Amino acid sequence: MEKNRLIFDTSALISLETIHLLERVFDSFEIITTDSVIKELENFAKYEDDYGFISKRVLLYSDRFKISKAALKEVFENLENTDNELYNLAKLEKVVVITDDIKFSNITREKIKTKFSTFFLGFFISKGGLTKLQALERLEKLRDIRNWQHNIIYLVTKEELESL
Amino acid sequence: MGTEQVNIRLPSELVDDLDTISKLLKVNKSDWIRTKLAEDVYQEKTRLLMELGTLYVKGIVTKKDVQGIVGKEIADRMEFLTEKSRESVKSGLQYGKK
Repeated sequence: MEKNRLIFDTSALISLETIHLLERVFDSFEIITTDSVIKELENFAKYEDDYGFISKRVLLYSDRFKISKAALKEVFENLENTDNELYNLAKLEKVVVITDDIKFSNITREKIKTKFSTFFLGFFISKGGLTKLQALERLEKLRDIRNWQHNIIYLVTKEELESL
Repeated sequence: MGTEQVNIRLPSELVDDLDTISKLLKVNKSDWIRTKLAEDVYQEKTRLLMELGTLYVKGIVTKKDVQGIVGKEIADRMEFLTEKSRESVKSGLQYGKK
């Protein structure tokens, strides 16, 4: 069966590996990313901190990513090149971008579809891969490593999960 | 980055303490104050916006209230984050049922 395709940026890959879901995501989706995302991960991996440690783990899956390229036909001046490439790739391929980068999501909101990595907490609850309690525990872990502005992603996701 | 001059009066004792720190650390007093102030301002701003975000998500304050307190840009961002967060987890739940 053909897997559904999603584009992932660095933030989403780090989030999903932090909560030990990335491997399971590969089972259900084709993960598309770019060389510049891989380079970002390699740069993080040089450091002996939490992000460095998680980035090293993400890079172990390198051969399972589909690496794509897109010309920078349209550029947002206040986005980095890596993000502009992801944006152009999403437009070209008409694929949703999974990102926890609030700035990227906000700036591109009118042009492409994005979702936060919390999409997969819902997805795996429905699929039976996570219980509600496990999803809530992983959300706590995500909050600890993410600088989620004003705590809103955490609060809203928690509210939605608790209502199930 | 542009700068603005802000004049504040400090108690003499505090100025003495700042001089002592400056001598001990061998740093310029103004630079040290600037750095410390920037750290504290960032932390306090983050904390207060987090509290406001909590009130907003819980429906205790409206977008209009937020806009009245901190301006349209932050109010828009809080609204966007709330909608996007809800949409992300809900669409995951729906997608998993397919």
